[in-house]
Amino acid sequence: MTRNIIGISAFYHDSACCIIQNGKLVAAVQEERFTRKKNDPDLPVKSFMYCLDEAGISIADIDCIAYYEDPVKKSERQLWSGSTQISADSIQEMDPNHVIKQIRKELGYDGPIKIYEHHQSHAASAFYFSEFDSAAILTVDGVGEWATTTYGTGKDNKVELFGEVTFPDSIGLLYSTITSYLGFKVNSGEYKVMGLAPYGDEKYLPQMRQLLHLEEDGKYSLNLKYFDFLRGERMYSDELPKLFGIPVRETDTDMLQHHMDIAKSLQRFLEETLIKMANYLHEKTGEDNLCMAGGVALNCVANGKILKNSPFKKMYVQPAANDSGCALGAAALAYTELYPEEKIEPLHNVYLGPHGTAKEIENLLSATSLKYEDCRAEGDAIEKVAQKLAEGKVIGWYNGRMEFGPRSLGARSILADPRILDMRDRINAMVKKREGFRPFAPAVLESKMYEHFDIDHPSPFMLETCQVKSRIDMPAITHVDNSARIQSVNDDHNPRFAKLLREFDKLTDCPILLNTSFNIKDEPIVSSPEDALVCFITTDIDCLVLEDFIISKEGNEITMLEMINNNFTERGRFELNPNVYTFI
Amino acid sequence: MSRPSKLHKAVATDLATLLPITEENQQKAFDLMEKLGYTRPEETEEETLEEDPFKSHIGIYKPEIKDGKKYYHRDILQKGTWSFFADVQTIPPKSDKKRIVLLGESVTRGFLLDPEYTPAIVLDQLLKSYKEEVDYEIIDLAETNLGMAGIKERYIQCMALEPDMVVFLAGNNWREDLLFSLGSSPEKLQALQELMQGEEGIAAVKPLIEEYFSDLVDDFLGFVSNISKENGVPVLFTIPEYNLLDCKSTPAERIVSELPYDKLKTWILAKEKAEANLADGNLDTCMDEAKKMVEVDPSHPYGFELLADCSIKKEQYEDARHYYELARDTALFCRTNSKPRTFKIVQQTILAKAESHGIKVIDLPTVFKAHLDGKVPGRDLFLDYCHFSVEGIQIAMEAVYKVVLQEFNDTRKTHKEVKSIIPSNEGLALGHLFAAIHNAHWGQSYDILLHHCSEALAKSKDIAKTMVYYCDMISRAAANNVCKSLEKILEDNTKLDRYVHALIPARNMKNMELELVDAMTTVLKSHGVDITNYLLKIRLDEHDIKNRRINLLQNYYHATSYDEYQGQKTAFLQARDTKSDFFFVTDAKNNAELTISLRIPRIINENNDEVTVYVNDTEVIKIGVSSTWQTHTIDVSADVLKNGINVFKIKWPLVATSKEDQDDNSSTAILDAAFRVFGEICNMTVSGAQNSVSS
Repeated sequence: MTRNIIGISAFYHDSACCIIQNGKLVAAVQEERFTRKKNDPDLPVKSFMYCLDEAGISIADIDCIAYYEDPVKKSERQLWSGSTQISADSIQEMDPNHVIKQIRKELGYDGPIKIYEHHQSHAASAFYFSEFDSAAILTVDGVGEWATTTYGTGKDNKVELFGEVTFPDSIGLLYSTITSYLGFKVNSGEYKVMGLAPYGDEKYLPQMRQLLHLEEDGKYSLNLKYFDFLRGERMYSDELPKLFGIPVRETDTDMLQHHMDIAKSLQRFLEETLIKMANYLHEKTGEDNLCMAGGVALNCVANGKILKNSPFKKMYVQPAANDSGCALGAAALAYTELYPEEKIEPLHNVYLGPHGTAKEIENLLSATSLKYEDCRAEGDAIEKVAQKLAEGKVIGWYNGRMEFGPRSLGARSILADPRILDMRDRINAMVKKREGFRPFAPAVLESKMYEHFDIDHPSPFMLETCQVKSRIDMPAITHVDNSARIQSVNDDHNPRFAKLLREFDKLTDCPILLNTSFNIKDEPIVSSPEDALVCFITTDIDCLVLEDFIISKEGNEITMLEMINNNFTERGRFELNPNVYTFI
Repeated sequence: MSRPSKLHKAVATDLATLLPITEENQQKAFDLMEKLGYTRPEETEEETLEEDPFKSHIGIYKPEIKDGKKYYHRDILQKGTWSFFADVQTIPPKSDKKRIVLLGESVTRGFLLDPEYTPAIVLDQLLKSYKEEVDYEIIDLAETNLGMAGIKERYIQCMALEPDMVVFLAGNNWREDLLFSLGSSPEKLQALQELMQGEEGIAAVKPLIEEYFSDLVDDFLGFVSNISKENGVPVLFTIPEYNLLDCKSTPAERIVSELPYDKLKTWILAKEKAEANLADGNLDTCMDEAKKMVEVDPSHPYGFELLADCSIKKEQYEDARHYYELARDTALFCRTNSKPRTFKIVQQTILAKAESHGIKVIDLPTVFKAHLDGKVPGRDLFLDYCHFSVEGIQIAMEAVYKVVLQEFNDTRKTHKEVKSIIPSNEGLALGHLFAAIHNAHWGQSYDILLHHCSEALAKSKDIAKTMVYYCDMISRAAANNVCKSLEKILEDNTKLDRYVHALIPARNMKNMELELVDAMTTVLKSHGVDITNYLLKIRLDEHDIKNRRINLLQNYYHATSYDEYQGQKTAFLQARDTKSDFFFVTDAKNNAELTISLRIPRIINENNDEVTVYVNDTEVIKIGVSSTWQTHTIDVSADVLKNGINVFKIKWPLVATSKEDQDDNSSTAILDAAFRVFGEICNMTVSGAQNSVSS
C-alpha cells in the first residue's frame, strides 16, 4: 500500500504543491509555472492535479494534506500589526478556516489536513531532505506567522525549534526594504541587489548597523523609524533616504556608484549578521551540520561566508528555500508524524516537475511552419548542440522534468559559451532584458569543477559562490570580484546535461557553460514545450532544443509567428504588488 | 513606523480566535477591534492626485491644435485598443455640418462586418445622399466591449466635439455593470441570498434583480439627461434587439438548478418527455411538458426555448417571442458569462422613463418586428446573438435616419434606398466565416454554423482555403498561436486585425470545435473539396490513444464552447447536468481502457447508486458511485469504437443530496448554492489497451 502525503504552500506568494510517496519526493511544482502568473499566490490547483498524475494516484489515495502555515497565528500577527491594509470591514471578512475550506472545496479532498507553522515548514524542508542525521537549523525570511528567524535542530527524524525572532523585526524585510529603496521589485529584486554588491564599497556599513540591533541569544530588533512596510504602500520611511543622504532610486533610472555602495554595505551587513546567528546556533547546538531555508537562504554569497566563518563543517540549503519550498517541509512533517519510523529520502536533484514527451514535441513542431531537426534516430542531438554552443550560439534548452525552485539547473535553461566577451550583454539584450551588471551563472562538469573554481565540494543547486581560478577567461560568468555562482553537474542527477558539458569540453577544452533561467523578464520560467517555443519565437535566442529536436532561427522565417505571439497572446504577468512585501 | 504595542498581542490573539466573526461574538469582536484601534475612523490623508495624461482624450483620440483649430488624432500610446474603435485616423474640427456622434458598443461597431461595413457608414451614406439644405457628419465613437460605465465616460468626453446630436445604440453589455453593482454591495448580495433559501431556488431572485437593474438604467437615463440639458444637445437612444430565433442557450447555460429532490425529478422527467415528444412531432404534449419545466424552474432557459420552438412550428409568433425573451432573460441568473444581450427590463425601463428624461427612443425590437411582419428575428437580421447582419444594420440605421431628419427639420424629398448600401462579397464572406467561428465559440448549434459557413462560401470561393486552414489548426493539440495554419490564414487575409483574437483562445481554452469543423467540412465537400481523410489523419496523429494516456479532463477533450460556469472553479470536473460528454480519438483497431475516479457529493442515503457509461451512444457498463471518490478501470471493446472521434457519455443518477454549506454571501457562494452538482470527476483518462479483450 502506498503512502501519499501532499504538501501545499499558498495564499501568500509562490504557491506550490508537492507529493511524498513512500518516503520519496516524487513531484513538486510552483503554480506560477502552469498559470503563467509570476509569484501566483492562489491555491495550487493545477500543481495539485499534476502531482496526483505524476504519482499515479487519485484524490482518494491521499493519506493527508499538509499545509505550511497556521492561519490563526497569521491572523493574530496581522491583527496586531495595525497595518493600514486592515480595517474593521476587512476583519469582518477574515476567516482563518478559509484554508481548510478552500482545500476541501477546490481540491475535493475530504481526508485529514495537518497544519504546520511557516518556519517549522521551512526548517523541515531543509532538514528532512538533507543527508544529515542530525543538524542545526537556521531559517530566515520576511515573515511567516510571527517568526521571521528561527533556530532549531533536526535529530531522530524530528525537527524542533528552540528560538525565534518575531515580526516586525526581520532581516529579510530589511533586505527587501533596501531592495525597494534601490528601485527593484520586492520579493524578486533581492537577487539583483546581491548581484550589484560586488561593484560597490561597503562605505555605508555604519548606517546599515543603525537599521538593526543585534541582541543576545540570536535575537535582534529593527530600528523601525526607517521602515514603513505596515502601511502597505512602500517598505521604507522618509528617514531612510536621510540616513544614507541619497534619494530613493526610481526604477529604471541610472545605477550610480552610491547605489552600488549601498548594495555592497547591505550585503556585508547581512553576511556579518548571519554569521553571528550561525555562531550562536552552533554554540547552542554543538552540531557540525547546518541546514538553512527561508528566502534569505537564497543569498548564495552569504551562504558561502557562513560556512567559511562559522564552526559548521557542512551546510545544506534547501534549493527551493523560498516559500514554495515550505510545501516540501509541511509534507515531510506530516509524513514523519504519521510514519515516525520511516525516513524521507534526501533530495538529490530538483527535477520534480512536468516534462513533454517526444510525441508531444513532435506534434507541436509539426503543427508549426518551423523547420527542425529530429535527432532521435541518430541520437546525436547533444553533439550538435555542443557544436552550436561552440560556435557562439545562444541555446534555449528544454530537457526532461522541470526544476522545482527558483533556479534553472539544466532542465529549463538558456545556455551559452561563457568565454565569449560580449555574451552577457548579448543574452541580456536578446532575452532577459535585465540589468547588464549581473553576470550569469556557470554550470560545470562536476568531475572538472575543482580545476576551475575554488571550492571543495559539489554545488548542485547553484546556492553557493566561489572564486574563479580557471585558466580560461570566462567574462560572461565571472563577477567583478572574480566570484561565480556555480552549479556542478554529474551523470547521476542530469545525465543529458552532463553529456552536453562533456561534448562542449571536447570541442573547446572548457567543461563550463553559461546557464541562466529560460524566461523573459518578469515572466515565470517556461514549463511546457509550447512555453519554450513561444519564448524562443519572441526573443533572439539562436536555437531551441526540445529534447532531441533542434530548431534554429537560421533558415526559419518567423516574422509572422513573432508578430502573432507578441501581439495576440496572453503573456506572463506579476500577481503581487512589487513595491511592498505582502503581509495580508 | 512605530512598533505595535506588546500589550495588544493578547488582544490580537483573542480576536483571531473569534474569527470568523459571527452574530454571537460580534460585540466581543467589536470591543477587541476597538482596543486595537480598528474602529476609529480612518485618518484621511491628503491625496496627491496625479495628472491624468488622457484627461483631454476622447477614447483613443488625442487633441491637437493646428492653425487654431482642434483636431483629434489616434494616440499611439493607446494603439492596443485602436481595433476596438472605428477605422478613423482623425476627427476633424467642428464645421457648419450637423455633427452627429454615434455612441455604443460592438453592435454599434458593426462587429463581424467592421471596418468595411458599419452602422455609421450606412447612416452617413443615407444622410449624405440627396442632401438639400442640411449637411451632416457622423462621428463614430462606438467601442467594442463598452459597458454602461464606459459609455457614460465617452458621452461626457464627446461633448468636446460640439455635437448637434448624440445617438446611442447600446445596452447589450450592461449585465456586467449590474453584476459589479451587486458585487460591491454586501446588502444586495445578502438580500438575494435570503430570497434563495426557499424551495423556489434561484428563480426567486428575479424580481429583485430586475428592480436593481431598472434602478441602474434609470440612473443612467438621468445622467444622460443632465449632460444633454447642460450642453443643449439632443439625444436619441436606440434600444437593441436580440437574435431571439436562432441564439439558443448553450450547454453551460443549461446547467440544472438546485431544487428539492421531487421538483428536480419532475423537471428532469418533464424535460425528457418534452424532448421525446418534440422529436415525434407531438407539439402540444411537448408544450405541456415544457410548461411543467418552467413552472418548476423559471430560471432555466430550456423549457422556455422548447415552448418557443413549438410556437414557431405552430406559427404562433407572438407566443414564440414571449418565450424566447423569457429564455434570453434567464442570463440574469448568471449560470455562465453569457453572451451580451439587452434584457426585457432594460427595454421596459427605457421605454417607460426615457421620455420623462427628455430622451427620444427608437425601440429596435418594435422596428424589427414590423419589418418581419410580426415574425421573430433570427439569422436574417443577426450574425450572432446581438450583432446585426447587413440587413439588420440597414433596418436599424434607416430608423435612426428618419429620426435625425425630423430632429433637423430636414424635409428632403428623395431618399437613398438603404438596401443599396452593401459591403463587398469578400467582406461578407469573411463576416459570415467569423460569424460561424464566433457562434461556435459561444455554443451555438450545428445548423447556424452550417448556415454561416454556406453563406461565406457562397459569397467568395476564396474563403475555402481559410476554412481548410482553420480545420487544420483547430484539430491540432498545439496552441493556435504557434500553428502554421494560423500564419497562413493571416497571410491570406490581411484585413483581420480586429478578429485575430477570435482565432487564438485564451490559454488552455482550446477545444475541438467538432460541430464547426463538421460544418466547414460539409460545406467544403459540397463545393468539391473533401478534407475528411486529411482531418482524420491529423486527429489520429495528434490525439490517438494508441500507446498513450489522454487526460479527458483537459478542456480540449470535453469543452464545446468558451462560456464558463461563474461559481467556484475546482481542480476536478463538476457535472452540473445529467450527462457529461468527453471526446477521444482512436483508430478503433484495439480496445480502449478508461480510468475514472468519481463521486456524487453529499449523498443523504448511500444506496448502491450507479452511473451509466456510454460509448458512441452504446451503453458499455454501469459503475458504482458514492459520496467518496471511487476509481474504476473499464475495458472498452473495439467493437463499439469508431475510427476517428468517439464520445464517452456519463449519465449521472439523480440522488437526494444535502445542500452545500453556504458559509459566506459572496457571489460565487450564491451561485454554487444555486446550481446542482450531479457528480464530480477528479481523474478520467483513456488509453489504447494492449490487447483486444472485450469488456
